[in-house]
Amino acid sequence: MSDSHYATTITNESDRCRFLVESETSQLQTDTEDECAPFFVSLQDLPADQLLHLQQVGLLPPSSKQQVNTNSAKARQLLGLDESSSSSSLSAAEEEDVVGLEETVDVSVLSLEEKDMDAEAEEEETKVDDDDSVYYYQVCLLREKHAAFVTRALFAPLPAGYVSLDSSRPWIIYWCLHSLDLLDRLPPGTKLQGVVHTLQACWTSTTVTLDTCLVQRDPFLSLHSHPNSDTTTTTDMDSIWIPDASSSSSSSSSGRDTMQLRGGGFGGGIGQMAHCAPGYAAVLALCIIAGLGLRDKGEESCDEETKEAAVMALALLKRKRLQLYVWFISLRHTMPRLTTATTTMMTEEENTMTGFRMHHDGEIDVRASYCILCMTTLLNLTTEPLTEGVVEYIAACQTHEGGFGGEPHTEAHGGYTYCAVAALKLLNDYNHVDVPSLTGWLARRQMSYEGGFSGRCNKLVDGCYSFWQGAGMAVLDLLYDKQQHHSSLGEQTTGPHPFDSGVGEENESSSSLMDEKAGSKRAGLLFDRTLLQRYILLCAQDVNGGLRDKPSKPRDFYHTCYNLSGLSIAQHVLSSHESNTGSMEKNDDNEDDKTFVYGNVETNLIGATHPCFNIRIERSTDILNVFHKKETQT
Amino acid sequence: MSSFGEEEKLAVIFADVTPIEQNDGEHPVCSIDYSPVFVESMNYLRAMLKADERSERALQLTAQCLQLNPANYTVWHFRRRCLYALASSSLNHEDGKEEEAISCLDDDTLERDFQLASRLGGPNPKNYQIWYHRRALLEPILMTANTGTEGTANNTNVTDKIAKELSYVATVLQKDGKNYHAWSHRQWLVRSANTDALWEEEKEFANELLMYDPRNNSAWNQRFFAAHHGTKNPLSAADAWKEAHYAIRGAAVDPYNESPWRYLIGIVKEQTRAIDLGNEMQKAAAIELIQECETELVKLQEVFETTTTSEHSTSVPDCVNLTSAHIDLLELKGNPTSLDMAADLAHDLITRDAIRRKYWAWREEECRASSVETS
Repeated sequence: MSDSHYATTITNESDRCRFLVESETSQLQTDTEDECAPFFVSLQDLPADQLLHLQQVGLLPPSSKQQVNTNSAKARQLLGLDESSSSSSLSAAEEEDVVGLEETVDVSVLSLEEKDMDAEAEEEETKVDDDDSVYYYQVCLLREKHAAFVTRALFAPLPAGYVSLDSSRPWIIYWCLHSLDLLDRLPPGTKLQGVVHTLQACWTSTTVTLDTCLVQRDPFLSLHSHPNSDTTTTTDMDSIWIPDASSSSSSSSSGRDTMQLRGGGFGGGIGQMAHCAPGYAAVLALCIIAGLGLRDKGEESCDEETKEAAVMALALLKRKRLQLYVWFISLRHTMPRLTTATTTMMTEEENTMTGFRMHHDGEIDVRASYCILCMTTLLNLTTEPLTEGVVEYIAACQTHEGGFGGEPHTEAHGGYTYCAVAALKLLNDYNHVDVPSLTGWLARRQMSYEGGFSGRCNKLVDGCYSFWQGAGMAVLDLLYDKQQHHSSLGEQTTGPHPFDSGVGEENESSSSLMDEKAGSKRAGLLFDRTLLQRYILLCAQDVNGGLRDKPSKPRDFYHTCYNLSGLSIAQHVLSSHESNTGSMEKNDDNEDDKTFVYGNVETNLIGATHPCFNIRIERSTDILNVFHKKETQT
Repeated sequence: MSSFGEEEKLAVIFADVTPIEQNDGEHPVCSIDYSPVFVESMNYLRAMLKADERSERALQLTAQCLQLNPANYTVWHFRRRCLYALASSSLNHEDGKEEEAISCLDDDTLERDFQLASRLGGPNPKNYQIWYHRRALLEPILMTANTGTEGTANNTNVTDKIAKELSYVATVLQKDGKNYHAWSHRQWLVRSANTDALWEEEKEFANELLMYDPRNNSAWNQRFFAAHHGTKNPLSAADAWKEAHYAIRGAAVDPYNESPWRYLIGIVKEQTRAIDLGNEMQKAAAIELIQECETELVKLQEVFETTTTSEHSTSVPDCVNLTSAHIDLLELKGNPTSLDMAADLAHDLITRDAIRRKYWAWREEECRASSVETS
């Protein structure tokens, strides 16, 4: 029987960190392993009162009252049927949670046969293969508690200490909204409307100065920046044209002709400058809400308030699209490449690469490239003038280790690697990077003992890397896999969008080293899906709701979002996505191309997130369809 | 003193100003229960922003606001605009000539703001805005120096500033030897200076950190950066040998440490890339390097197995890193024999490094396929 049937085990001492020389790093690593070890106990060996406690907090399934032979006192105790012991240690709030859990877990789905509980209780002392008692040891995702934790952020003001996130409010919104979407626990439509209003309040317009020749060469800018351009805001789109604000500005230090256009973006809060990170979060949050209204068919249709929110969200995206583009262009920063031009075809002047600033008068790193490409892909704003030199900059961020740093030569790091890998997928160009080296680096980031991912070599496990590293692997899986014949990742889309080829369709554009090998090979998700899910469910869950970095760290919205997103990545295989969620089968092992749920299938299966965008694939598919329709091309 | 003293109430200093409240709308989502001090400070700051008043009192107000939320990049930007405006007005420059004013910030002003950044940076070592502020202030000065029009005096000034910054970064790394922002800032400083002396010093700096903790991967990465003088051009064959040997010595200290192995493979792989493009001499040097590394690796393996196998243990001590590096070297060697051997080793790792079994199965497959292709 494979390990997947059990909630725990696999406390393998030989997987612990080894060293001939002790150091600060090895000490920290050992401490972390010690911190996780208690969570990796064999549940079957736990005393009854501890098992009961796990049930009470919801980490183990509640007992099935109707099917248990209640003759055995020991069985009753083990399974928490004894009324007096089960209620005394629960607070009123917790009791509510437990009751809620029992209601959501539909035990009738599993065909539990009536069994002799005495015999079963005895069997538990030895290794058990039986499905029924195995069910009781399957660790649960605390769905309702996590939903309650993040929902509170959307309904009540956050305490004063959150002032440190006062420039990240769209982030908080996105972390919570996406978590709820994965958990299928989105708030009511009225609240979603409030979200749209708040994000709208975070919008800031700004005047941008661009070289006139650049504007003239650009497909979008040239179309909307001439004397006949509409300066008024139409119902659909805010204008970028500023009349009487062009040409021969003597303030340009370069002496080139410049002109001013109206740009804009979302900032971290009301009245704050536009910034790529909260901008990315705002656009994703709006796509989630807008997506809800686009699924309005049959049993998936939503109520009036939600529909209204969705319409508002979509309208906001459509209105601000062009101004966003202007602002993106203004963030480009071209610099010399770090390699001497190797051919005589290229002058040193042409030997350049282009990064983006995160905001005006702000830092340049690969996060900006990713945030911008993510937004331009979803909103169909990717153009050649925007992307020129961009792939070269991203490629320059790959280090000798195989992963990517934030800037060229900085250390390979999970967050930046994700940004690079996803951005390259959106650009559909892996020709400038060493994919096998990248693959090796990603594979080595999964920690043998803990099962979760670390962010860098010789650093510690952290639940958020479940997504950053796991999704990096998933994106590569999309890249390697060319043989899928169907994919529910993208239902038929109406228009071509660059990133989508390679996902369910034949990849026509030049993409990777794999093209040369006869018969493209399917590499699959090259990390251990069981152990990653195990880490998330056993070590990252806070019994009071919310998820965390590691057991010694407190829960927060960011870690809730990214642990859940990582869980989603590990559960679903998108390159040949089969929605076999209806079968509710326990998978015998984590076969490459199947949905695989560790622990309790009923409680643990969450929505499938898209590895490039990190919103549910239904949302990204629908948004792409809207913006990539032919009418939206201009 | 960069912000107001306790006796100076904002209401007094800004008596002529109407504070502007944050317009959160009717039912804001994810709102924060700000402290009264924060509300008041930001209300006046919004007024300054709206009026675009880039004055001394506005400057001091930004310090106060940044104390409360050092991540507000809008306030940092406004602070810099105040600095430039005050500097240019004191030099009687026209409005709008701020680009020139940026490089005219005097040393006292710079020093004060570095101290502000250091003060705020202490409890916030991973704040992007604070690190960027240091860079934003220093960058124009470094750029002016690099255009080469300045005399030696100014260059000494620049050298001093860089040295001072480097020592600041060193103190941050003292507390956390892997602080990503600190390393990034350091790379920018050394790359901007771009002198042979500093490149050598940087290698030594990284080496010292590795003496303290051989598993400091950031230091290994910094060494790679310094050895390459911040470029992506391949090392000379001679330098590659030196670096390869450094890595092998690092691996010998503790083969369970992944960092030196990855450093080694990085160095060797870079040299093999020269094989396709370069001349026969380069090709021969690269092949020799791979062979040398493989020889050293096998030696290391023997020593390792001898010293770690105890009399009572029947199992062979296991070092996945070592085998992993061996596989990489064999693959770089690229002939059918080495590729077959690599495939066999990868096959072993499917069980020895079970968490990565799918990765090793894929590596094995790739090696076998390559072996067939090259034979």
